[in-house]
Amino acid sequence: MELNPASAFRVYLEVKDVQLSFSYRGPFHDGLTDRIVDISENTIADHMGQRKMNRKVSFLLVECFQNIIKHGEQIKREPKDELLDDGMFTFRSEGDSYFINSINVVRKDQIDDLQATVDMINSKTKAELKEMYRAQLVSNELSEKGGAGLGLIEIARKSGNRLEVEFEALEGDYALFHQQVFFSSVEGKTGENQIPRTKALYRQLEESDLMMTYKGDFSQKSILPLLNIVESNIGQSKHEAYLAKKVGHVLIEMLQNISKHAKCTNGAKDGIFTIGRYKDRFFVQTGNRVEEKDAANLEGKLHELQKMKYEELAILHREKIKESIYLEDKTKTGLGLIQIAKASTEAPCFQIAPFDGGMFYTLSVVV
Amino acid sequence: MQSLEIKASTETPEVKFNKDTGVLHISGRSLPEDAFSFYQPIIDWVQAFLKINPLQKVELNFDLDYFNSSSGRYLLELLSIFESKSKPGMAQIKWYAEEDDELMVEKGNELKSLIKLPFEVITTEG
Repeated sequence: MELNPASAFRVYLEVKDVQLSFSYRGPFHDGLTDRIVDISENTIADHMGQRKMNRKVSFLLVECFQNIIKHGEQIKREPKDELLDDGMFTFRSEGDSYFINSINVVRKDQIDDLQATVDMINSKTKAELKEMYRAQLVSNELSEKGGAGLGLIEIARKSGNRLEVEFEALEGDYALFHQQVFFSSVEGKTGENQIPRTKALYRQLEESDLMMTYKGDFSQKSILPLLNIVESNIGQSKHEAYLAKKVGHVLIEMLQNISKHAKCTNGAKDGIFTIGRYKDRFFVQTGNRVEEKDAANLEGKLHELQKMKYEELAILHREKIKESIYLEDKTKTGLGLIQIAKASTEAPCFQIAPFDGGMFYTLSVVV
Repeated sequence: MQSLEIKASTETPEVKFNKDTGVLHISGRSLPEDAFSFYQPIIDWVQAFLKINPLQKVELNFDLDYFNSSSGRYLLELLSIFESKSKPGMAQIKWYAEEDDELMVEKGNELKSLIKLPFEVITTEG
C-alpha cells in the first residue's frame, strides 16, 4: 500500500458537509464505550449547546455500542487465527440530526430472529414500546447474553424513530449486520437512510486500512478525547501498544497544528484526522483548509523538512528550541512541524491543493 | 513566599515546588494550547524563589507522560533560569520516562544536551 495523503482527503470529501463524523473500524470492546461518549460530549455539546440532547446522544451511543458487544460475533480468521476486523461504528451530527450507524458480524442463523425483532419494534407505537419494555423487565426473560431485545427496545424508545437494518451475506456462516439509529432535536423529524453511505465509507476504510477517522472541529477540547481513544485502543499487540504511545506524541502536534493554523470556517477549525495501519506500523493523516496566503510558506517548510535526515532534524530542533526562548511571538516557534517530521519513520508526505475556493492541506506520517 | 502547588488538569501537569526542601515535581501531561498562561506564573515564582533561596540544593524532577512543543519551549526556559541564576552545583535535574517511551527518553536527552547542569535521564518500567 502506498502512503497516499489523498486518502484523508477522499474521506473528507465523503463527510465534508457534516459537522461531526467519527468512525471506528475494528474489534468492539467495552473499553471503547466511554471513550466514544467522551468524544461526543466534548464536540457535539459545543456545537449544539444542548445539554439535554447531549445526554440523549451519550445514552444512545452507549446502548448501540454495548448491544454490538453483547450480540456481535467475533470470527477467527484462518490461518492467522486473528480476530476479523469486520465491524465499524460511526456517528455523525448534521444540524439538528444525529446518525449512529454500525456494522458488525452476526451468524446467518441469527438473521431471521433479529429481523423479526426489529420489524416488531418498528411496528409499535411509543406507548406500546414502553409497555413492552416494562413487561420484559418484569418477566425477567433474559437471554444468555443478557438482552432479549431490551437494548433494541430502549434504542427505539429513546431515538423516537424506526430502526433501519440491513444484512449482507459474507462467506460461510456469517453476515454483516448494518444498523442505523436516527434521532433529532426536532420532534417528528425523520432521517434519510444512510446505510448505503456508511457501507461506502466502510469499504473506503477497508481499502486504506484505516482504523479511525474524525471529521469536525479541532479545538483543544476535542483533541484530548481523541488522544485518549488512540492511546488506549489502537494497540492490539505488545508492539502496537508501544507504537500507540509514539502515535500519541505525534498526534498532539498534528492536531494542535490544525487547531492553531487551520482556516476558520463558520466559527470552527474544521478538518479531518485518520489513523490506519501501514506495514507493521501506523500512519496518521490530517487534513484541513489553510489560507491561500499561508500555503506557499507552508509548502516551502515541508519541502525542506522532507529532505532532511533524522540527525539533521534533531540538530534543527535543538537550534530552534534554543532560539524559541528569545522569540517575541512565543506561539510561532515552528517546533511542532519539526517534531512531527522527526518522529516519522519515513519522510512526511503532504499535499496542498485548491479546494472549494481555498486550499486544502493534508499531511501524512508513519510512526 | 509560599510553596508552589498547582493541581493537574486534563491538559496540564501537577506542579509542586516546596520552598523549604527545594524539591520540584512536574508530572502528568502538558498539552495546553496556551502554554504561556500556564508556565509564566511558574517561571515568575522560580525567579522570585532563586532571588531569596537560602538552600544549598535544589532538585528538579520531571515525570511527564506527554508534552507538546510549546510546553517544551517553557521547560527549557525554566531550566535555563536555573542554569543562569543558581549557584554552581546547586541544581540537579532528574528526568523520568518509561523505558519503552522512546520519545520521552529522547526529549529528556535533548534537554540534557542543551543545559549545563547535572541532568539524569532515568528510565522506569511501564
